[in-house]
Formats: sequence, structure tokens, C-alpha cells
Amino acid sequence: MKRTLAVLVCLLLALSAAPARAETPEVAYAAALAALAKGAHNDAIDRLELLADQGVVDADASIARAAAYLARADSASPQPGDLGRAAAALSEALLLRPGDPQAEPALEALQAEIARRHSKERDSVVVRPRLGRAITALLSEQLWAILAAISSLTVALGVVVRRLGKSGLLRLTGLVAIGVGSLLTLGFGTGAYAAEQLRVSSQPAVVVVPEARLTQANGRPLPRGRGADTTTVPEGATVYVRERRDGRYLVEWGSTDAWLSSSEVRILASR
Amino acid sequence: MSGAPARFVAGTLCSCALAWTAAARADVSLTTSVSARKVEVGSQFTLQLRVSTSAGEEIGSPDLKLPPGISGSGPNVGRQSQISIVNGQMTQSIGISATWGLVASHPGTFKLGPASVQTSAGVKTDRAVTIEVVPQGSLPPPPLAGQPLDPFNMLRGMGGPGFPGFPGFPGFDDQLSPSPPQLPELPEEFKIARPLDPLAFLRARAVPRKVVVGEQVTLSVYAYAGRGSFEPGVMTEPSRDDFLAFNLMEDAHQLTGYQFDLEGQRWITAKIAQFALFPLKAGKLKAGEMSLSFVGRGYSKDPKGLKRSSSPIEIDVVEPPLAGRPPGYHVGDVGHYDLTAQVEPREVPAGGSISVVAKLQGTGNLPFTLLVPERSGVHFLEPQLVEQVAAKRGEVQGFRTFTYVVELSEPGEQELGEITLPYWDAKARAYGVARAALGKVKVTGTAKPSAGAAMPGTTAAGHLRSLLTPAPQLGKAPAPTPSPWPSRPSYWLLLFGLPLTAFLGFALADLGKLLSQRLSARRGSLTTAQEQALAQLTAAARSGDVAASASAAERALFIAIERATSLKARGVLKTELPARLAQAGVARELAERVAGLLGRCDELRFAGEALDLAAFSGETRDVCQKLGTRSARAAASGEA
Repeated sequence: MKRTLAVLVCLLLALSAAPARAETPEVAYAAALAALAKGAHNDAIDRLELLADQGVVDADASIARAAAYLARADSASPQPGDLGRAAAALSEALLLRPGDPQAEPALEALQAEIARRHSKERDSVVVRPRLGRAITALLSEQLWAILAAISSLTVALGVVVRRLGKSGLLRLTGLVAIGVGSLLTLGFGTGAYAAEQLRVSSQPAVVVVPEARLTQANGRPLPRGRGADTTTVPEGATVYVRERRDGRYLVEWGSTDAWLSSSEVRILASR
Repeated sequence: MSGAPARFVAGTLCSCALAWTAAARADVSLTTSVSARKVEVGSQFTLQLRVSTSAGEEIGSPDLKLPPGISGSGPNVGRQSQISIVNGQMTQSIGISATWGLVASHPGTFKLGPASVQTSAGVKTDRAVTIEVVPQGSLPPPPLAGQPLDPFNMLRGMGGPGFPGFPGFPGFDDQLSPSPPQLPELPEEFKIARPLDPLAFLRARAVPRKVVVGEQVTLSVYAYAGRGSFEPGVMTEPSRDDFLAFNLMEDAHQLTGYQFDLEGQRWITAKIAQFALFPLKAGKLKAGEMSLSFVGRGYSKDPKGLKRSSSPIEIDVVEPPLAGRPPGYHVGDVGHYDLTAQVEPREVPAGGSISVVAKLQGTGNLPFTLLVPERSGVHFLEPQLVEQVAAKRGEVQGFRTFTYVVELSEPGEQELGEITLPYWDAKARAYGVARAALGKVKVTGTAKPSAGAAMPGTTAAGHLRSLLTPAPQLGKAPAPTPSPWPSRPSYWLLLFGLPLTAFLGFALADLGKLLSQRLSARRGSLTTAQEQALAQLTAAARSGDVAASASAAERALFIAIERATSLKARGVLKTELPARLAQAGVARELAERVAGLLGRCDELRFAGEALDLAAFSGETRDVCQKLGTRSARAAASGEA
């Protein structure tokens, strides 16, 4: 009798405070999908967020996380910032797998939905990135680098042809190659350098709260100028984090540099 | 600040510190308490007024009406604040505690107060308190050391000259007595290796120093006085930014003081503040900077006293490990918890609701949220919270009940699942999950149409969700992407090095060619000069001109030497010439012949009629040819 009682007590204790066991990423992902399928959105989000915290950087996991947030946003108990977090997850997926056939249209549709919801509360603001960032973003960093390398090779070949060419036409061709190649090397090289600097000095992040108010370094709200309100960043908007200090991020949003709380944005993971 | 430390605080801070954002109607509560209902004439006792308000409210200076026969000092005012979250709503309450030190001058029954305080809603008054004052010596003596202390007479008499001294404790005047009584054992936490200051000092202590976010750190501040009795002056609270704090001495009506001897000096010490701190973030966080003024004859002539501060302590706070972290764990949920739940009723019509009461109890800063099960047709509303969390034996513990209303919409027997709370058990250094199974509920009747379908804004989100179909399995981890070319220094070296190398290569080749041509031209000019010199020698020898023959032969030989070895032999002593030529690679015999011929040139120039000029000319030509042959070989080998 005593033994039975002891076993029962042990079982109860084990049930009431069971030690947690570690899961592999694959198992955790499968469990998250199962939770998502049965409508346990919070559970799915918790599992997928834990995966991200544990350093699993994967486009599929990001898409699943976006799906979980969208499912909760559509449920009877949505949480503020669900759409922003979904946008962050989709942006992350696109960063990891550019041109993803699911993530790209979904992100566009989601941003349109966010804009539609916020348009009821305030005027929509179109914020363009800085000219330098916009030009640099035309091509990927690697493509800038490859084009610069080809241009450099052209210059080298031009020098050879100019020196060794027997006919006047050949030597003229070499001269043109040297001139054009030098200009392109300079241009593409600058693009590659700028892309590398932007990548190293800033990280893309997405606003995950319904509205993030930009502040100055001293914590005071950014003074609002005339016209459209550019002192608040809407949900789902992409900003670039340039500095971290005391739980705050210095972000670049359009042509504005200001501070946001770290809880208002989510930095996109990259490999 | 509240509790015993509050009773030391001097100065007013009400008007400047208590600005709160909420502008709701003030709900002010007042509580008055005295340290003793029965006191002796001449002995000090305290009266404390606690004021708290649950809304944004300014609290002004407190006031106390005293009857004749009672004199007082103060008030010393401390501030306190509390945050509670109920049903998802955060409520801030603030308050002050004002403490007066009182002394009765004659026996009798006295009515103290009522104490009052000015608020923005007007003057608020509490009840009066009645005390009985008895003649001196009527009450039993206070206990021996480790004894409670009157905060306004803190440590007075514990060995200080001129003070009466606690029974059983010698004053400094008694130190020469033949058999001083044994001092009581000083608790470990008070012990120090050496005094930080010869007069007085504060010491902060935090245990433990390395914790995870949400784990309790016990911060204690001790006062040490080395010049006998003192009265506390202005005191600040210990700094504790980035921590959630529970005052562990809130209910301590009296402090416990000790005295001990160290390095030949008698010290008095007492713990003046103790907080349970829960770090809110990771990092190197600082806490424990606190100041206190020691007022007394032995400390400072300044009536404000001798100010001393404790050094802040750095506490290393980290997050619990990611390995093994259960899903749904919130950073900061640290402790050891048990979870139980009650569900009522067990049968409900579709569309109706049941009550789920979950009770979380244990040690640690109890979390405000639990993980509720998510089931189709089962909807947990936000819970109502009832809590009792307090420090016991230096550890924050208690319980918090979460009362949920759960709506059930789908008929049938519903398995509710379980409520869980993942937490980090700091003592076991492992994660745990507190669980409470909810069992089954029978839902009768028929399902009602879902209200969610009609919710605005949900259609588009549903459409978005349909765009995403997560992959059924997590793909294999992709190979690490190589870093882009621009992040590699070799890329930039190649980018600019390639055209530069081509350009410089051709430029260097051209330069080499030019130099070679110039060298050849120079060599050609030496040959001509040598031939001219030899022709002049032949002509001079034929005409019998000795001096001209000597000059021409010497010139031809020097040119031949320069052609063969690049050595300008005119600058070399003739005695050293063979050795230099040999060093330059000319055969020893030939070098000797060259030197001999040059010597004969000198002989010819000064006394040379006896020489056969034709033979001399022939020999000179022969030597020049041999040097020339060597020169040609050297040039050929150089070109090869």
C-alpha cells in the first residue's frame, strides 16, 4: 500500500513539474506544423520562435513562422504586431532565398493589407530609401563584384592588345578597351564597395509593432515637420539598424536616422 | 522605501518624485502604526503613517498632531511603488511611509494624531492611535544583543561613551574592567576582513553574483560605525535599476544590531536594507549604491552628519541556456513552481462557458501568464489574477491564481488539454514545465454559427494565409554561403592588380630593352676607341715616336680593360692592378701581362729608347685582343 502510494506521488510530481527535453530542429518543426494544422497558433509560434532563437536559419522555417503569425492574426485572438512579425518572417525568407515563389507575392499582399488597415487611422507615407542605398540595391553585392572584375579584365586585355597589336585598328581597340574598362571598373568597384559597407555597417530589420515612434538619442520623440508624418514607422516597414545601445537601435528609415526600441523591430537573420 | 529603512529617511521627496501619468480619481489609503502601545517615560518610540494610492496622484507632506506631553522629531519620509497586472491591465500604485520619532515626558494615556497627508484630492486623515506611557523602569528590559533597535536611536548605547549601553554590553568606558563579558557571535554575513573606513562605512553584498534573467539576487546593505553611537541622517535607497525589487525588510519593525571588535576597535553594525532583486535583462548590471549620514559626536560636527556611500556591486546576468529550452518559455520565468487547476462545471451547453481556476505556487518571481491549451471550439478569455507574493525567509514566494472564462462552442466531449508553465529551475540548473491537466468537459446542444467569420479585416488575412504553404519538412541545412567577393582583400588586390600588372609588365619590358640598347651602344663606342688607340700605336711605333707609342699603348690597354671588366683601371695603382683584374675574372697570367705592359709604358715614357717598339706594339695588340676575347665571352654569357 505504501509503495503504491509512493509511486502515485512520484507520478504526480513528474506530471506537475516534468523536466523539459531537447528536440531536434526537424522534430520541433514538425511539431510546429502539427500545432498549426490543428489551430494551436500560439504553440506553433512558440516552437518556431524557439527554433529561430536556437540559431536555425532556414527559409522554410521563416515561411512557416509567417504562416503561424498570419493564422493567429486571422484567428479570434489576434495579437498586436502579428502582421508585422509575419512580414519580418517573409522578408527573412526572401533574404535567405531571394525570389522565393511563395514569399514574394505573400509579402506584397501582406504589406498591402497592412497599408489598408492603417489607412483607416492615418495617411499612408511613402518613404524612399537614400539614393546611395537605392543605387546599391539595384544589384547584389556579388554581381557588383563580378562586373567590376570583368571590367578590370577588359582593361588588362586592352593594355595587351594596345601593346602587341600590329595593326592600327587593333591598337585603337585596345585603347578604347582601356578607357571604357577603367571607367566601368571604377563604377562597379564603387558599387561593390558600397554594397559591402552597407552590409557590414547595417542590418535589415522589420517593424513588428502596429506603430513605432522614432526618437532622438536622448529618448525624446522626433520633432514632427510639416506634411506627412515621418516620425512614426508603420508595421511591417523595413528599416536598417546601424547601432545598438542600451536596448535601443539607431535605425535608418528613408532619409531619417533615429532611434527605436529593440522590442519594436526584429532584425532579419542571415547566413 | 518602506519598512524599517523608511524610518531612517530624512528629507522630503514627495512633491518632486510622485508625478504619475494616469489621471484617474485618487484612491488614497492610510495606515497608522506605532512601534509600541506601552512605552516608558523618556524612551523613544515611533509612529508610522503609510499612504498609498492606486492612481496618478501627488502626495504632499504628512502631518501629525501630538498631544502635550509627547514630543517628536521627523517625519522621515520614504517612497514606495508597486506594479500589479490583473486581467492584462497594469496598475501602478505609489505611496509613502512617514515615520516620526516620539518621546513621552510624563506617564498617562495619550491619543496620537490623527496623522494626515495632503493630496490633490484634499487632506486625507487616518485614525488616531492611543498609547500608554508608564514611569521609567516599569517595563522589562530589552533583550540582549542581536537585539532589536529603535531606528531613531539606532545603536545608541552599544558601547559608545556617554550612552547608557544595552544591558550586558560594555561601553567604551568599561573596557578596562577586569572581565568584560563575551560578545555574542557575529553572524557570517556581517563579517569583514578589514574596515573600509576608520570612522564609518556602508557595505553592500549581493548573493549570488552570477544569475540568469529572473533569478533572485539578495542585496543587503550593512552600516558599520566605529565611533560609538550615532543617529542616522539622510539615507537613500540602494540603486537597483534593471531589477524588479521586493523589500525584504518591509515588515521589519526593528533592526538588529551587533557589535564586534576588529583591529583593536569596537564596531557597531546593522543591516539597514535588504532587497530581493530580479534582473530584468542580461548584462553586467549594477546595484547597491546607497548613502547614509552618520550623525553623532564621534562622526562629524556638521549637523547633517558624516555621509558615507556603499560601492555598487556588479552582477553578471545571463540568459538561461538555449539548449533544452521548452517551447513557450519566456525569459525571466525562473523559480520552482507547481500548478493545479480546477474546472467547473463539467457539462455546459454549446456556446456557454466554464470557469478554469489555475493556481500557480512556488518560489521565485511568479510569472503573470500561463500557456493555455489551444483547441478548436475552446476559447480562453483573459484571466483574472489574484496573488499573494511575498518574501519569506529571504526568498520571494507565494501563489497566483488565474481565473479563466473558457467559451466552448463545439458540442461533444471536449478534451481541454493542459495548462503549462515552462520555467528555469535555477537550483537544479535545468528547465522544468509545471503542468495541470484540465480533463474533459461535455458540451451539449448544437453548435452556433461562428462570429469570427463576420469579423472585419479577417478575410484578407485569411487570403494571405492561403498563399503560404509551409514545407512539410525542414530541409537539410544548406552549406554555408561563402562570403561575397568584396569582403575578401584578395579580390581587391586582383581587381586593381590585373590591369596594373599588364601595364607595368610592358613598361618594365620596354625599360629593359632601352637599357640593353644603351649598353650595347656604349660597348660599341669602346671598341672603336680601342681600335683607334691601337692604330695610333702602330703608327707611332713605325715612326719611332716612343712617347706617343707609350701613350697610345696605355690608352688601348685601359680601354681593353674597361671593355673586358668594366673596371676603370686609371684609378687603380699599378701594383694592385693584377689582383683587381684577377678579382674581375681575368686570368692571372693575362693580368700579369697587362700590368707588365703598363709598367713598360712608363719605362718607355721616361727612358725607353732601348725598347723594340714594333714588338711592344705587337704585344700590346695581342693582350688587347685577348682581353677583347674575354669581353666577348662575358657579353655572350650575360646575354645568354
